[in-house]
Amino acid sequence: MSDQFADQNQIFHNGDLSHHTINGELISTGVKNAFSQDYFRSDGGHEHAVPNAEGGMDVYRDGALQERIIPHGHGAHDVYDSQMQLKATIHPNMQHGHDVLHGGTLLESSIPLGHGATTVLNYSDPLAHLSEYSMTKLVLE
Amino acid sequence: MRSQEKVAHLRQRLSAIILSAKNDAERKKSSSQLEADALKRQIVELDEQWRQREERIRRIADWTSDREAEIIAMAQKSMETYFRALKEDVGDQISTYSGPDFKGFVEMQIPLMIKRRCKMWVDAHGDALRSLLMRLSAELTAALTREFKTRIPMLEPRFVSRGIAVEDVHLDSPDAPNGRMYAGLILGGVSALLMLTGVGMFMPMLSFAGYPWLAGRLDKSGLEKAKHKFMPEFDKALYLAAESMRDRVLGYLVDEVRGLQESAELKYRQLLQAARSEIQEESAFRSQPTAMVRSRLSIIDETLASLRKLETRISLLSSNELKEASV
Repeated sequence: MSDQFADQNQIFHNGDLSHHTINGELISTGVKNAFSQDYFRSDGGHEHAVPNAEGGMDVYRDGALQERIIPHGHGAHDVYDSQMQLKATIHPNMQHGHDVLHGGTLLESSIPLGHGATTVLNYSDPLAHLSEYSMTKLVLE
Repeated sequence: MRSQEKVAHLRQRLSAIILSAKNDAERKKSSSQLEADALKRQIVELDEQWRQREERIRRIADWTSDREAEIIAMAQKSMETYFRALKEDVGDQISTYSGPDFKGFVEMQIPLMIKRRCKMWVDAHGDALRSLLMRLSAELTAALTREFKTRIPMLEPRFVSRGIAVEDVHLDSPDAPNGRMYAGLILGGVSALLMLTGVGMFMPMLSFAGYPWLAGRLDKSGLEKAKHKFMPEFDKALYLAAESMRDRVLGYLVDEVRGLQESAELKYRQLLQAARSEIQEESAFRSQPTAMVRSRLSIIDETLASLRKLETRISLLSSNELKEASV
């Protein structure tokens, strides 16, 4: 279940298989093929990612083109919808994760925590939404 | 408001001292009343806890380090958003500028504008940062309380124990770093401290003076050319300024979080050591004649009664009496 404030994303790899969870809930299972990747979503959907001519990836959902990801240098990528309307730009950030921006507005920031886990902060100014932040309990026993 | 905070903090400190003394006396009393079997069980439990102490301390360190990463990420994202908006706003003002004194606008007004906006971020977010550090402190204290089944005063972040009142501090004072001049109160909170760490003072370094193409009176096309030349300089300077503010704010937060972690680890060692010594002393004391054991119990009871009276007296003290007592 996604949270408004922050989500804990985790990707477990096992050979060519991967499991993506958000806050402990399985979102999709990925299978790596020779040139492409398939993702079987827990909601029943199927996504297929194939490399495109621009050096990025095209993502198809249930057979229809959903997203085009195109690199534009310095590690940044533009994400377009099937009509080639810019949805967002992904930039690497200082924490070795990435920021997703749209029209100059920061939509989300990911912060890697190691072991395939990443925290994604969903507000552009998390300090302004602190009442929604819950601190994990410290258990010593 | 600050005076109320001062009184509340004094009351809390006095209560914490009494509480700590009461805990010691109660622990002594309960170990004196333990049956032989229970005493043996407790010795075994404490020995086990003693063997696992480094593992528990590592758990405190790991947990604190995860929370540190979260706090840093939140502060960093907040600042990045703020500087992105600031860059857009000031960039718009530069590109729409049509006045006669572009040099003055660039050299005087822009640095001031940015300095003001930085101060605004600190003022607007200081309370949020303070609240995060206090929550971290409360969680560490609660974990220790659960572990040792005893009440302990809240671990204090460094900004609380330093208790800096921004108006009382002279940065060139030789007393400033040692904390003796501070009253032990939460006065300025994080905002004041951030200002003191220099966050509010770095902006004068943002200088746009000395560009030859800004000199003299600029006609319309000259102004456009100057703006065109100035924009990359502005981007570069703002980037460096943002980096500098980021380093200071995050450095300050890391320092505070690590201070709390050190306090929690120290408190853990102290509480474990105290419980262990207590039970070992009790075990040795059991070999003494019965009359001596009874006499010690009655002394502990008297001490506890006096501490309870003192506790009631503190809760009834007026604000002025409290201030006098603190002196």
